[in-house]
Amino acid sequence: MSEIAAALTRATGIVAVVLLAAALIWGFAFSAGETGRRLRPAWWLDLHNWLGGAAAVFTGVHVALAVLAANGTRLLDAVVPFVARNDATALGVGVIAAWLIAATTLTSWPRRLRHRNAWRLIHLGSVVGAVLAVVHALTLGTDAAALAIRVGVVLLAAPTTYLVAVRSLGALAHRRNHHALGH
Amino acid sequence: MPSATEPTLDQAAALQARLDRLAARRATTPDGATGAAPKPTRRRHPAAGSRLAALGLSVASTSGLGAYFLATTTDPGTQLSAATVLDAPAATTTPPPTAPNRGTGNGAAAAADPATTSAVQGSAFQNRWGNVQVQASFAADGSLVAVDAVQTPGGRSRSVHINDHAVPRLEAEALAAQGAHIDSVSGATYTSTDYRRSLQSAIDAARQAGLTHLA
Repeated sequence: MSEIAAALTRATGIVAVVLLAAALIWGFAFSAGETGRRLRPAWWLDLHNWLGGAAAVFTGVHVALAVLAANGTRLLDAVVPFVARNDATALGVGVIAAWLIAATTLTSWPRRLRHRNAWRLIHLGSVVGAVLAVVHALTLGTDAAALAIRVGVVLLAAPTTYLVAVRSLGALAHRRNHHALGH
Repeated sequence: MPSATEPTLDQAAALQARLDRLAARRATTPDGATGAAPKPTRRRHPAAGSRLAALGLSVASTSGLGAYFLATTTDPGTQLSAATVLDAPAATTTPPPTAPNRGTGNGAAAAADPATTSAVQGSAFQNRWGNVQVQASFAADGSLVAVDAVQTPGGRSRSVHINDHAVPRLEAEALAAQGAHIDSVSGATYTSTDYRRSLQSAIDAARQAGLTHLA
């Protein structure tokens, strides 16, 4: 049982990171207007919401299985960062990532947080969550040294970084124009 | 006299009649029944098909990866050597062997009295990151008093880092459990699995030699 749980912990962790990266790519592509003309923006937003929700679910399953896998991770270690007796930093980083992902999801579903600035701040926290999730995977993951995982991280990081940059630069340019017009 | 912008009485009456007709038409369902509220239409999500595809891919990937990981970590792998009894009780002191691959013996065996302990070297196993082999020491009463890692994966700096913290934990767990029924160390799954196997082979060999009753 613990071996099955351990194998599924590894699998759900990898899939959660992929889903998280996909949610970021879809979200930033939508908000940056880099969605092309073939598919409607609503399609991108809808799938972004779904991918984010799926990433949160897989993260939850990953955490639950890590506790069940009997590899030394206690429930307390899985919910409170940096209290683990072993691998406190690597595990703590993963716990923070999981909380950020959960906060992002729960402030958007089932109802979106009314305070727009707070919602946006929490939503952007998922970017930090994604980075921490990758750090957690590379420092604690059994498969971190595998070539396929390293290549996968690069392949996911490239489009994500590009779209984050496009969105950030676009927002900066918009703000500059806004100030230049005297608003 | 009404102004140019105000409707006349005739126009107001015509407008009211039109509004009444519209209200009556709205209150009538297509099959002629009146009074029923319009049925709300269910909104179809723009990416309904893609949602299903994403979910299917995620579940399939998890299942496939899980099955692959389970098969590779529970695969007995390559057994390089059989377990051997090195020292019988009251035999001359034999220091823990130096590691052919990367020794991580932490000197725990030295704490036990070598004159009354027996050392048994477990089988060596090869996994994807390197070889794992342990040496178990048993007291005269058959209890497990020390476990030394003879070989651990050491070909990569990451493996060295992982095993530097994983092996002492495995040893502590083995001594506490008095056997090989110990948990894997997170991040060191392969080393943990082969550590258990090597330790179990050492315990089995010791039991066959009458050195312990541990299972």
